[in-house]
Amino acid sequence: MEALLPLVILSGGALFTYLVGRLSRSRTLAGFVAFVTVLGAAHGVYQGWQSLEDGTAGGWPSWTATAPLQAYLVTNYLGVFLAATALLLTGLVAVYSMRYMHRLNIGKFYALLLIMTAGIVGIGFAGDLFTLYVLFEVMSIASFVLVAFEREEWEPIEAGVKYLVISTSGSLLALLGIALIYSYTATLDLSAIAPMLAAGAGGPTMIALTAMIIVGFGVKAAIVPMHTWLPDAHSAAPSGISAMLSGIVIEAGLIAMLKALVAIGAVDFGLVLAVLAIVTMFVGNLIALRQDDLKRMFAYSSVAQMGYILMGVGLALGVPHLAAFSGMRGALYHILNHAIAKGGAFLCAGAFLWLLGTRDMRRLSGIGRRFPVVAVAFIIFALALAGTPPFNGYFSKVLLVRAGVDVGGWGLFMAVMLVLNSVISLFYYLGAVNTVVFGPVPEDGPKSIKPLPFMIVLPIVVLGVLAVLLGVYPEMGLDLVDPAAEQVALAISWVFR
Amino acid sequence: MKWYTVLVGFVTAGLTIALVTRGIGEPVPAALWIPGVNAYFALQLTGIGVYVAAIAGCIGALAILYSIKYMEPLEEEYPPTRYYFLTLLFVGSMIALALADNFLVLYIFWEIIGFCSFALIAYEYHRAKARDAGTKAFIVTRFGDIGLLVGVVVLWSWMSQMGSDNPFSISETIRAAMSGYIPIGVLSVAAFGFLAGAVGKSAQFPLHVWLPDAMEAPTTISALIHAATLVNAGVYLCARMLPMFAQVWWWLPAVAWIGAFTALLTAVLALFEKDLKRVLAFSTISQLGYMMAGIGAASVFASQFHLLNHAIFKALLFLCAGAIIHAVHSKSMYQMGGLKRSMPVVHWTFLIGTLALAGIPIFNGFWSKDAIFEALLEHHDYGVLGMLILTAFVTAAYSWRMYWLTFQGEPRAEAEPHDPAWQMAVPLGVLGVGALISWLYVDGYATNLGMGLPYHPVHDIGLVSLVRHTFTSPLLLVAGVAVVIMVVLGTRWRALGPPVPAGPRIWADVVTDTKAFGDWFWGFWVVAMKTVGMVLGLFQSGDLNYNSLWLAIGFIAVLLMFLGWG
Amino acid sequence: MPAYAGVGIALFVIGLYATITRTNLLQLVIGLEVMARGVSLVFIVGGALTGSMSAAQTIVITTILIEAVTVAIALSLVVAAWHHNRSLSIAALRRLKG
Repeated sequence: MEALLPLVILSGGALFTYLVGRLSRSRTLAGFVAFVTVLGAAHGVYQGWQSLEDGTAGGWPSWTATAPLQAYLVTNYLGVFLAATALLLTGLVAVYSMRYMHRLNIGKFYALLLIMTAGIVGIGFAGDLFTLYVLFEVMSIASFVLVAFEREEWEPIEAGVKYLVISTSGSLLALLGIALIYSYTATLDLSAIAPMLAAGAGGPTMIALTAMIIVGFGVKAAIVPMHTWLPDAHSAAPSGISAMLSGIVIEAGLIAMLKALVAIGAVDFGLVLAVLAIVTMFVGNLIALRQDDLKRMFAYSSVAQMGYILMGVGLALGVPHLAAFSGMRGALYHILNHAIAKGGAFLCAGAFLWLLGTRDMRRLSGIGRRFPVVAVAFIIFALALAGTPPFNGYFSKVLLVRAGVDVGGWGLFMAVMLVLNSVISLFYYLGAVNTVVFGPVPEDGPKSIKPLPFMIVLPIVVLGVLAVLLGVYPEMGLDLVDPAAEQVALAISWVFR
Repeated sequence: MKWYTVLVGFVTAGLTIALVTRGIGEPVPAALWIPGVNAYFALQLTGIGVYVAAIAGCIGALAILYSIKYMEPLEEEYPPTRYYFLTLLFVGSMIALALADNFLVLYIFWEIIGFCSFALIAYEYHRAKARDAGTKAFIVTRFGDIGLLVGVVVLWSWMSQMGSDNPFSISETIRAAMSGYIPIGVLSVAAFGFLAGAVGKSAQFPLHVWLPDAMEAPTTISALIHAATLVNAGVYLCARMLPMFAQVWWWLPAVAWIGAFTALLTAVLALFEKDLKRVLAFSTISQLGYMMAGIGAASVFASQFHLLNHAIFKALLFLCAGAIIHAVHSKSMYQMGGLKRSMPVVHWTFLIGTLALAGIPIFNGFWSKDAIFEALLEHHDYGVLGMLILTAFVTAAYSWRMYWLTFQGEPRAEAEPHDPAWQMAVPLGVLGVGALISWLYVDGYATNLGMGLPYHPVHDIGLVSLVRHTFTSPLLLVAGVAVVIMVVLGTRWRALGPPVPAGPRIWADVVTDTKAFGDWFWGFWVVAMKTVGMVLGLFQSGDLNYNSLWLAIGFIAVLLMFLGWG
Repeated sequence: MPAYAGVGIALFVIGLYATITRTNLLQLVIGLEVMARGVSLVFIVGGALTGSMSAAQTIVITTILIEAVTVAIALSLVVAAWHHNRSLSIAALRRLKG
């Protein structure tokens, strides 16, 4: 039951929020209801964690799977980790959007936000491949609408169309892989597939399946060359949604891929993932270098950061399995750090966009000096993303490098590439800071600027404080990450045996 | 607020001096910081580290006192809170870096001082040049830090695989390495990484390009960070890890040759520079090269003794330069000249600093430079030694040229120069006295240096034996030749001053091109990366069909990779 | 029976080919639908092969439901694109690039 509880709360809350927003047309009220829903879901997740600690955790509807589709949802540490990260970000985005979003359709906005979060939480708890796919689609569909939420503008519509076509193609490719798995094994239960698949499918089939899973879910995870939708969608979406997309949605895609890969026993293809990761981080960083659009730059930097995370996953799945734990640890910790830092960075960019109505850095030049609190947070996020101590990004990079060193040989090379990329990324992060905070104010800029509402500043400050806290005391994140990493590492070694 | 900062600075200085007199070798309780990776927040009061901390504390205090007056003209444009915050953060981080007994702690503070350096170089953010210089400094040093991070993690990985319950501990790692528990292959990777980190931070060739540009910082920051403390971090790191990495056969020669080559190259560059601060910057790089060469000769004492002396006289020179620039409103030496009469206090202190830099007997730079020569001689590094002796002559020439252009001859400044206020004069006086007498402390220094470091080869050198040894050594000739060079240059000083360019024209061209090459090399990478980014951006065509095509291509590519590597 | 799975995969490839070559937004959406039908067919074949047809039917019906929602949203976006551009060609949707 614990696994179902957050999903029920979030879906019910979505319905209720829609009604409240529709009837009252009050942004504050709808946002508040959404926030309370997130709190309730967080309580549900906490109960799930407690039951895991007590050893009484179960699935829903039943603990063990007998038929192909019986254990829809299973409480597990990986799910708790993903849900906690997603709910943290959702709660803050709910607060942020109270002032950021327009009054029109506010109920629909919050309802979709909560449904998207329900999808992400469900991906973590999914117990079989088809449930995984359904909840993945719930997340995707909600995000299509959210990206194209401002229908009066051309940009979100164009981005939404591109996002929808590519993302749907990708998830159908993954579903095709799942269908093939089903026809070989007659089961989709995550914990039962691997041995049956090993018996049923031969080498080439297995390879094709794995490629379908990687590419299919890889579209959502923005692995180059399937990343083409990301810069458009992330820069055109409302800023709160950009933060969600970058901070957790693409990571949820990666987690879905990871769960599927581990479930089908494709755990010795780490080298391929690591090569994709290197391509991804280089492409993301190098294209980000020449962006003038602040949000588009952060979008490309998300591509690069997905490369780092994918590197951790690739090292964890590499042969021999020396880094199963350390690689997962680095990847998951980086997901947490990235959610905080990139979410915060997008919220800052959104605050500037809200003030000046532009994302062009040349027009935003010097705006940060008028809002010192936001500017300090912006600098913190930029440095955290570049992996500069004492902000949170460095620790996960240390862990990722550890994974590379543990693998040795090609792993060491990959680790050096990773750190090299974080140096390249400094170019544009510092460039953004130098322009947006320290740059000269344009002559023809607006003379007076409205003050930033408290509700926009508050989530930024919370994320900034978290970025510093996690950097100074990384153990807080490890408490959340380590059980999940152990769970995946155990599954990897179990499959390998 | 400002005087509160001064108070904090001087209290810190007092505490760091107390560490020197009472604390060396004392055990410090460690706190479990990150239980998940067994990282302790541990400090160790080693002889080397305590002195680096004391230098940071004392020179930090003097620089802050000096800043009160020096930063006043800027306060209207840039509220000074940020300046004092970053300066204190820097001093604290530098002390923590010097005392850390945990690689992770070391790495974190290593990066924090890099960040402080970036933020202070770009302090006057209205100037695009300052912003760019800060960015360049940060990125170039972090380029070296790639190696440091990988090296730290390599050692951590090995230590934790050996089952150590404190795998980040520096002292335990060194002990394990000295007992032969760490294979040479692992040590080699770590040694290369640490060397790369040190080369970046201590501005050695080929990562020296950031330091001259860093002179966009306020001069107090140049004195504190870019002369006396931050740039020493790399030397400190190498000295601290010396016994561990000395087992790797190529490490000591590599350090020595990098140091010697950097020293010679940048000394020649300093000879042709016209910006006073940039001359000092090049000379800092050059002197850091000496220290690296000293480490390359496996002599902790010589390199660290030079580190101490250099910190004092170079901070002095920078603070003098700050007073001059403050008074003359120009950084070009061709617009100074004749300041001997109008700024007597600055003149005398600057002269002391110059003589110490040139290695003239009885000033502190002389003793430590000679110690490095002796160490190289004992270590049979004759090539390195020859290069450094040549550098010593060039050093005498450029420091004397710098002095003459600034203080002798006809006044060329447009402003009316005068001696600075007491807040600026007091630090000059203190450091001037320090540059005269700091070598008298050699006895205690040599005794304390190796304390708490069981594997570091530090010989006890008494003051008397140092003096006797130095004055009976044939290497005294080096100093003699330096004096001759300075006397000759002094009689023919007009050849140095404007409008005649220094040296034959062709030399100036070569050197200008060398410098241009350094800038070009940096610019090349920036342009190259942007070009590649532009080309990659073309693939983001915005056409929906192409997006779908990329999906198909991605699938085929993954399939091919699987078939290729299985 | 496996031949039908081949038909399913072929349908999928045809749909993907449509999204790569067609320039009309409606044709793209139809391409997506064709892909989805191909996947459904593979599921049916899988159910028949493994003798668990009821589960396969459940899956296919759910898939159809999801596709219906996706297409509804896709069509609403197409309508919005039509209002902005007065064109259904993707050539009008090339402003976001680089």
